[in-house]
Amino acid sequence: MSFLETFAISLGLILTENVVFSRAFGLRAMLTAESPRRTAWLTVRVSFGILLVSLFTWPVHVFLLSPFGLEAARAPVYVLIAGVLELVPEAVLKKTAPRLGARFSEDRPFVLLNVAVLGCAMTLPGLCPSFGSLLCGAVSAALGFALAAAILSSVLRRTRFSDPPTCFEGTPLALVSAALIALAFAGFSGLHF
Amino acid sequence: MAKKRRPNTRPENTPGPVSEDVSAASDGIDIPVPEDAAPRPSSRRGRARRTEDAAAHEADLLPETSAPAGTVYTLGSPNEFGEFEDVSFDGESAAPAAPADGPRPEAGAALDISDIPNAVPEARPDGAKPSSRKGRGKRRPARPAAGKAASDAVPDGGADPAEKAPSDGDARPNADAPPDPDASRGIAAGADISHAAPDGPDVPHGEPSDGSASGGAESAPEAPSPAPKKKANHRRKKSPSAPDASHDKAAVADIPRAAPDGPDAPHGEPSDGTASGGAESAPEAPSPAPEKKPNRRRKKPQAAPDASQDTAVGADIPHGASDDPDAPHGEPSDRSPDASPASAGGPKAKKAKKSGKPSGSGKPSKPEKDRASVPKLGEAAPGLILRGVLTENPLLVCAVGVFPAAAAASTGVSALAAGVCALAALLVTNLAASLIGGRLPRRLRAALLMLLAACVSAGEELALAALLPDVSASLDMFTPLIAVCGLTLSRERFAAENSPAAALVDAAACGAGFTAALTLFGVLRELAGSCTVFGMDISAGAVTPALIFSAPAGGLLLLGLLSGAAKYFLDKSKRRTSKRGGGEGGL
Repeated sequence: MSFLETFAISLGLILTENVVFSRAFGLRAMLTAESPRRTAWLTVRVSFGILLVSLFTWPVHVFLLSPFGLEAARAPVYVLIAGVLELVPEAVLKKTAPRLGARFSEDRPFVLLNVAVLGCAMTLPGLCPSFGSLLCGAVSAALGFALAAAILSSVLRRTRFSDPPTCFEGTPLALVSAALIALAFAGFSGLHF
Repeated sequence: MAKKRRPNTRPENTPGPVSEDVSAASDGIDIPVPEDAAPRPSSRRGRARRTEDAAAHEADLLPETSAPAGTVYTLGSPNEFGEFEDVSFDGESAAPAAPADGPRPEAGAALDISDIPNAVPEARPDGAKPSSRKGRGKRRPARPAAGKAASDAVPDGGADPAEKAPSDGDARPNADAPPDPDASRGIAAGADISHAAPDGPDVPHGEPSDGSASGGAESAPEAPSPAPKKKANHRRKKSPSAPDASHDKAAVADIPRAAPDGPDAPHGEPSDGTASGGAESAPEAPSPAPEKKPNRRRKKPQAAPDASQDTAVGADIPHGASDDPDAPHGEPSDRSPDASPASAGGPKAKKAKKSGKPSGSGKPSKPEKDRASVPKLGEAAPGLILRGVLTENPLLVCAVGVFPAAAAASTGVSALAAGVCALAALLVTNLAASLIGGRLPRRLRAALLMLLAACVSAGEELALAALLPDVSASLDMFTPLIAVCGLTLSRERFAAENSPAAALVDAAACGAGFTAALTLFGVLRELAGSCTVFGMDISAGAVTPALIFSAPAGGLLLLGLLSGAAKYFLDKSKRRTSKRGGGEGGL
């Protein structure tokens, strides 16, 4: 994999094909998490999840689904992989270290079973044919998610000081803000290599 | 000028402006106190009491000397002239001496330390131990007061610290009043001030406000800490037990400390004297109990934000978080008033019905209690449908399923197809969730339901590719993701708590509402982005389409506008309903 290819994949997944603003993956989570701490924690977890699940699903796609023409079954297979990656370590942790495992309560949301992680896992094999490029792409997608989260959370915090009409408070204003940021990111679509 | 002398009751651990050796050496020894010196924590009694004592004894005990004000003597070290040596308290560190011939200030006025610079920081030693249950006169090391702390103090006190500050002067004389029931008014005012300016920078977090009307107000009115508020709330609950607290209820009402002042104050409650003379009082036997209580109370509110954090973060996650994040596991969502109808038919309820016993061990559980008032499914179905389609529309009101709307529904047809896919997946998962019920842990159940939804989406993808290849091509890889998006499991909790029929009705209502909203959104987006409706050109080339609406950015913009419009109309209808019902109305 050449340097130019790596650079193109990275720049494309961070800016031009940002998973949040061009595909709306994981947008709902960021609309609700306004606190910087929550957003940072969410970003770390989801970014790690994107990297992990992409690395685990790529071999399955390349060596199992694609050769046998089973692409239609990728969704259940990916969900199964992500679920195993999510729940098995939790169960092991609860057995071996109950104190630490107690943090994984029943109401805790999934880290790996969400649209951002599964969407990246489904998108990346088509963009990245080799494992090296997939690794680069997964890291870039995670970085793109983190960048989008940082920008969006900053803008959403700014909107707290605004005085919109009552009907626009909350989600509508957040959606419009996200739309304007996505519009700005659409300006990068002219980049070609 | 005649110097005052009063019995020194300053404890050893209460350093003040006087150096440590003096305070240690002067235990039980009369120390002349400069007339204008700042009052310091010196005894357990209140300032007013001490002032009276000082006024009563000063004429008898103090030698008439011409020493400058602020000179401190110790009986243990008289000089060769029989006078007391000036050990450490020089006149420069104290307030400027009052004129010898000047009118002697009264007891209350003498305690006004507002003119003394740095009086409070000196009177409040860093190393002082926390006060006892009477809890005043001692302060702890400085705690940086955040801006939020100030904002926290404002609503509770009902006034801005800056607004409270002017009342400081009014409160001080009252604070010096004798500790009888009459003083409760003054104490209340003092407590009010101490809340408005809770203890300044060196008040520890969680420590009760010292009740020093003068000290607390002077210390740092602009830097209140939030902790005294909690303690104050704690005390407010106790206040009715004190007879004197009711004496000035109006004044005490907005006082979080609500000191149950007066001599009749029960054990453990702050007494009048300490409340008024808190700056001077230094309890000798501090008990740790008042410290720990606030800490315990402080921990409680932290649990809720954590839970809300998780659910907020997981709102995107198909974990049912959009249902009601605050509802405990295994309980119907509060937001779904219609949850109860179906809960009567849930698996647990059925089991209880069969056995003829309540499911709980002793007490009947909450669903069983409500069972008598549970309407049947036929009665609850209109409410479920109305909620799913209008009042809690998943897309426009709850903002669930933003991803399929922004990314996939660029035309009316694709939006309709995406909505139908989501509806089918929702029906299947809701039915499965209802059948599984509480037999599995919630996390495992949610994961299994996601797997089931993914299987359904795979079938949908194949069916679309066979029946509508164009639509399948436009949806691309979004079809499986639509099935596993947040909408699919948004009703999982409700379904698990209710019968299959109710779960199906709920899923159908939510899915129909989502499909309708998504179709409307897709049609509008198609109209704005390409001037067509379901593929039919309606502008005949007269209008140039705004291409941005075909992109995700335009989709988000349109979704935001639609969501705002939906919120506006819902609010309007609520207002109208409340007016008709004779309610307060308005937002």
